[in-house]
Formats: sequence, C-alpha cells, structure tokens
Amino acid sequence: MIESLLSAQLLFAAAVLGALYALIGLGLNLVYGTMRLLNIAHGDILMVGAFAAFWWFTLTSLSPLIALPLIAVFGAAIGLALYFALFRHQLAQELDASVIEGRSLLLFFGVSVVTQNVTALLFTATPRAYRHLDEVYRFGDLAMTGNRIAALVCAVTLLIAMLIFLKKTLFGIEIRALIQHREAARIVGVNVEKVQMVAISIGFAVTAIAGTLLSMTEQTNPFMGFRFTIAAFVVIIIGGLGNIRGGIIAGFLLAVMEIYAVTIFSAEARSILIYGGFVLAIILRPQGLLGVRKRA
Amino acid sequence: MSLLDIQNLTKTFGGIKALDAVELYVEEGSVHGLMGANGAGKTTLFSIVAGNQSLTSGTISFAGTRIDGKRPDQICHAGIARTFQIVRPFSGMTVRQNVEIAVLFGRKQTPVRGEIAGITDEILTQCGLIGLSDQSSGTLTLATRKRLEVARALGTDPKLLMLDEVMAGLTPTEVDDMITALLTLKDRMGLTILIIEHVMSALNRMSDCITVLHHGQLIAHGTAKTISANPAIAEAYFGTDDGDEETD
Amino acid sequence: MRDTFTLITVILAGVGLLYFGSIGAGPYWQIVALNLAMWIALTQSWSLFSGLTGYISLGHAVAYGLGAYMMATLFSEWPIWVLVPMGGLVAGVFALIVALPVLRVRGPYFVILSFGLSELVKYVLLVVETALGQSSRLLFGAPGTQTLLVWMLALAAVATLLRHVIGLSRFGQGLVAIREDETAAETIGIPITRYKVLAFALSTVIPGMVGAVMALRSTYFEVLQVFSPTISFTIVTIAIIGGAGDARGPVLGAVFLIALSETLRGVSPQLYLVFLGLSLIFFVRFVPNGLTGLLRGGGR
Repeated sequence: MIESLLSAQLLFAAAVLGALYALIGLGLNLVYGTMRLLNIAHGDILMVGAFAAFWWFTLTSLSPLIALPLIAVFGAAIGLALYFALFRHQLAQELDASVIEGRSLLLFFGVSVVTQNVTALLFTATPRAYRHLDEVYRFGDLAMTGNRIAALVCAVTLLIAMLIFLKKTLFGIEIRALIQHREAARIVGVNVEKVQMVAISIGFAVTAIAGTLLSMTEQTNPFMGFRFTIAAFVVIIIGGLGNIRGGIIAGFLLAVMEIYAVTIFSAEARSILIYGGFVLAIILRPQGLLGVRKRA
Repeated sequence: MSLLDIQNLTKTFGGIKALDAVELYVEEGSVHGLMGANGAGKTTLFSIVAGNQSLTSGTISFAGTRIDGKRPDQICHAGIARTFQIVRPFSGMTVRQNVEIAVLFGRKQTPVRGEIAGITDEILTQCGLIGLSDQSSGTLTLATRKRLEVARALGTDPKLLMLDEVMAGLTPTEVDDMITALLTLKDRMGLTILIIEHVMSALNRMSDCITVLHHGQLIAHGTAKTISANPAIAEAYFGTDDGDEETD
Repeated sequence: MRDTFTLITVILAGVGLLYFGSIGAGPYWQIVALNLAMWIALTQSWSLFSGLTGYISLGHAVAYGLGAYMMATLFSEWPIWVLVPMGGLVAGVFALIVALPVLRVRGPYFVILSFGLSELVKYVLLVVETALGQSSRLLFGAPGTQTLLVWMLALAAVATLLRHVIGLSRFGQGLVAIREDETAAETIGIPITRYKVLAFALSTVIPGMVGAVMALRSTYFEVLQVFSPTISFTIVTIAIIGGAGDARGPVLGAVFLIALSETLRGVSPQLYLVFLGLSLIFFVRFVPNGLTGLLRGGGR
C-alpha cells in the first residue's frame, strides 16, 4: 500500500495539479495582495480560459498551447475591463481595506454569476472536451499523457518566469512593494494605479492560462469554476495572504492532499477535503492577520 | 483597600515581556497618573485591566473582587470604563446614540426605558456635548470626539475611569478645558481616575500620584513633585535634557 | 410602537391581498405568491443577523437545506405541522453548534467562510445519502400549493415582524453597535459573543422552516438542489437591492426579484441569473443602500 501511495503515478498527478493550483493561487495573490480585492470569480476566469482553448482547438485544430499568449491577453483584458468599470474609482478613494474587501466580494460574486450564465447561454451547460496530445508515454510503471506533461511543463515554466519577473523587473518589485506596504510604496514613488493595472492584468492572464492547460485534460463546463475558486482561496490562506512564494508551496501541498485523499478515500472525499480545508483554514488562520494588514 | 489592586502583572508576547511584574494601587477617589515612554506598556496595562487582552500572570482586583480573566463586558458591569488611545466612536450613530447605548448596556442594572433619555442628557450636558446631540459622530472634530469617548465611558456609570492619552492631539486651550472638565466630572460623579498621559502639565496638575513604567517595568512611583524632581526618570523618559513634553 | 402597529396592519393587508388575490387569479399566481413570500421570509431572517451585525452570510442556504432535508427524510414518519418547526429547530441547533468558531472570523472572511460551510455540509450530506443508498427522495402525498402558501405567508409575516421588532429592541441596538465597532461595544458592556451567536441562530430558524415547506413543493428532493449557492446569493442580492437597514428592504427587494424572475425565467433561467448578477453589481456599485436607501433620500 505504501509503495502504491508513493507511486510515480500519484506523484505525477500531484505535480500537475499542484502546478495548476500554484498558478491560480499566484493569480489570486496578485489581485488580492495589491488591491485587497476578494475575487470570488477567480475560478470563472479559469473557466473562460478553458472555453477559449476549447473553441480555439475546435475551430482551428491547432494546439491551444499556441494560443496561450492570445488567451493570456484575453484574460488580462477582462481584468482591466473589470478594474476600470468597478474598482478603480473605489481604490482611488483609499477606503479602509475591509470596505474594499467587502464590496469587491459582492461585486465579484455578481461577476461570477454573470460570467457563468452568459457562458451557459452562449454555449449551453453541456460539458465539452477535446482530445489533444493524448498519446501516452511510459517510463516503467509511470504512464503520462502528453497533455499532462505539457501542462506541467508550461505551468512550471510560467511559475518560474513569474518569480523572476517579481524579483528582477521594476514592475515586479513595485508589485511586491505594493503588497507589503501600500502607503510606503506610494511614498517612495510607486505609481500605484499603474502597478495595480499590471497586477490585475497578470493575475487574470495567469489564471486564464491555467484554465487553458486544464482544458486539455479535463472537461469544460460553465460551472466548473467554483471548485477552483475555493481551491485558490485555500491556497492563499494557507500560504499567507499576499505571500507569493507561500502560495506556490501551498498549491503543491493542497494538490498532494487532494490526490491522496481521493486515492485513499473516494472522489466525494475530494470536495469534502477542499471545503473542509477551506473552512478550517479560515477559522484557524492566526488571529489578527486581518489587523496586521489593515490600512486605515 | 485600594479600589484597583494590581499585583505582579506580567504579559509576554512571544519572547517579549510587555509588562514585567508590575504593581499598581489606585486609591478610591484619587487621580492616578500613568506615564512612560512609548512602548512602556501603559496601554497594554489598560487593555488587560479592561479585559480586552489576557494577562500571562498576576492578579487584578477591583473593589476587593478578582477581575483578571473576565470579559470586557463583565468588567464594565463591575464598574470600570476605559477610553481608547485612538478613539473609537460608533461613527454611524449620532452623539446622543453613542452615549445612549453605553447607558443601555454598561450598567449592572439596565435603567428603565423612561429614564434613559434623562440620564443620557445629563451626561451630554456635563460633557458639553448637548448642543451636538443629533450630529453624526463621524463628522466631529478630534477634540469633540475625545469628549464623546469620555462621555460614552461615563454612560456606563463607572467607579473607575481609565483614560488613555485623552489629551493627545489637543491644543493647549483644549487641554485646559479637558482638565477642568475631567476634574469637575470626577467630583460630581464620585469617580476615581487612572490616566495615561504624555502631556506632563496635565499629569502634574491632575494627579495625586504618578506611576512610571519603562520597558514594561515599574521604575518609580510618587507624587507629581517627586517624579518631576527625579533625574533618573527624566533620563529614562526624556532621554536628554530638552524635555519633549508635549507630543504633537 | 405606532410604527409597529402600522407594520402589523400592512403585513396583514399584504398577506390577505396575496392570499386571496392569488387564489382568485389561479394556480400560476399562487406559485408566484409562494415564491415572493419565500424570499421575503428568507431575507428578513437573514437581515436580522447580517443586516444588523454586518456579518454578511453567504451561506444561509445551509439553514434552508437542513430544514428541507429534515422534511424529506422524515416525511413519511411525522406530520407536517411537526416537521416544519423541526426543520427550523435543526437549522437553529446547527447554527448554535458552529457559531463559536465561525463567528470569531470577521468581515469578508466570514462571508467566504459561511459560503464554504454551506458547501461543506452539502458534500457531507451527499456522502451520507450515498451511504444510505439514496440519490434522491420522493415525497408522495404532499399538500397542495394552497396549503403551502398559507404556511409561507405565515413565515413571511412572522419574519418581517421579527426583523422589525428586533431592529427596535435593545438587542438590536447592541447588534448595530457590534457592527460599528466590536471592541468598543464589548468595552461598554455589550456581551458581543452571546449576542452574535443568538442573532446568528435566530436568523436560521425561519429559513429552516422555509426549507421544510419548500421540500413539499416539489415531490422530489435532492441534496444538490436545496443547498444551492444560488439561494444564498439571491438572498444577499435581494438585501442589497432592497436595502438591509429595516424591514421594508427585503420586501422591496423580493418584489424586484420576482418581477425580474417572472419576466425572464420563462425566456431562460440563465438570462434571469445574468440580470440578477448585473443588478447586484449595479446596486453595490451605485446604490449601496438599496431601494430603501433611495426612499430615505440616500441617508443611512
């Protein structure tokens, strides 16, 4: 039993899922960390990316991987549109963090419902899937499909690229500054509005890409997003709100727990694990985490 | 027997001792000053006495009964009221409603419906706020908000009033007004006052005795005269000789 | 108190109008009245807690679902007039049990937590149902729409009255102080934990009963449907649109919703949801105090 638990197969599955969770956690951390926006439509952006990939493949028969830059731009555009329509005004008022969080939550809830149902209207609720790169490669006991390998490789590459971006480039440093201490960042001359725009663009782009990668291996339907929204929140809470590196580690951690829960118990266990983890994570997170990051 | 009896009070956060075996006795009917540099532990002491924070060890007794470990609302009903360093009015409510709610909840015996308005008016008048009764508390000036903070605390009919830097940010005239108001209220309502202040002139004028904290420890206790004459305290508190008395 | 007297009159008039009007107008309108009463009952109860304390619950479907589950499982054993209150009781007890850990979390985190909690209960019950060998339950011999309408109107009336009375009471004022500043509230003598728990539990009782009644509506019960996030979301949307400041808000909001629903649902349920979502966005963004806020001239 132990051997099968440690099997390369499970580890590989955990790696792929972990990379995806790390990506969506990163996307959410960027948006929340810089602007305190609680994006509970996060999973729906992933869904949009997944649908975009599906239609790309269906209409052009080309690999969605080629479309990644396009889909990224599409995701970024959605983020910017929401930013300008809904949040720019409020953020400029420098309201108390909890007010922004509260309002953004409700606004994003509306966005989520609209996104899901517009998609359902356009494409019906029937799940879609497509076959691409599904040749199986074997290494001993380990069987991997090409699409999973591609997803893993792309996700990890993107994660590394993001870490480099955040560490080495000016925008990246400014984003980190904004996350750490908004007031101080402003004082040292960071153009808060511009950095916010960059943050939301990248956050949404990354999430859309994750959706594309996911679409290669899983069915797509308008209501698939919820589960990933919850996963994203578990990830950023466990990893520490706004903590980029923590979120990445937490992403892999959650994937490991999930894969093993399903293996040891059952598929239903997965939902219970995610929501149970979610509930526990929020209840147990250190008291005053909210107070510490308050920005009155 | 002192009204407030604090013995061996220690509070540790992680590795840091915010308060270290502090002893404090506040006599009934007195004004007792509490001073010390920022970070000395004064507000922590208040929070612990009022029940907003827990203590690590020690005992706190009020009018002979142990109160350490009790909840803030229980301590309020026992007769202790406090103001906050950064004022916390119920900004969605009017001035009157702020005091009214303290009257409604802060007393051991809830007053009869018919009496509440009268009691509230009385307190508002004594604090000079009656003219602003129906104004939203969110729109007040700092000085007025501070007065409201005191008024609200008084609404709970306390025996001990703990004031946390209630003069900070006030102009010298406002400080004078506040001192007069507080001393008058003290006499009229039979209060005992424990007051944290950086404004030395206020402490000197008001206090019957002063306790000095430094890095969580009690380093001196005595009358205003003794304390100001003590060079060691001046050194610990002010650093060099140019006495930075008034904080902004 | 004259205010309360007026309200009771209005409630009685409204209930009478809805009941006799819909009986006269036909079964379709009875269902409309039923839904309207349902949303009023749900949102007034929600507002009792969330409107007053500011702890926005996005998981009230859990109360509804528990009540429905109670009805669905015990329908053949016990009479309805026992099961409906029991539905409320189960929901209330559940709320009491989870209240202490859950209410320690503040602000938007409570919002997400309440949502997660509702989902968690849903999936746990799904597993339970699977273990029991049930995928859905059938309720034969359930009473007709007219009886259900009476129940629901009664629940809506009670919920509205309760919201109003509590809003004016000492308890309600304490809850508002908690919303303003919990620490200050506690310091002036309000027992904040006791009050929050009480309000929370109270706010789930009627939704539990509503769930129990609605389980009878479709003779077919399924866990996934009754613990639907759409229910939680709709409650919050109604409260935002109508305003949660007093007992009028949920009524106005529910009317708005029903109007929207009746116009669009026939065309497509997704279109209805799209407009509902857009309405929520619009109101949060531009009219945060809801319709009652507008009535009052935008004041708080």
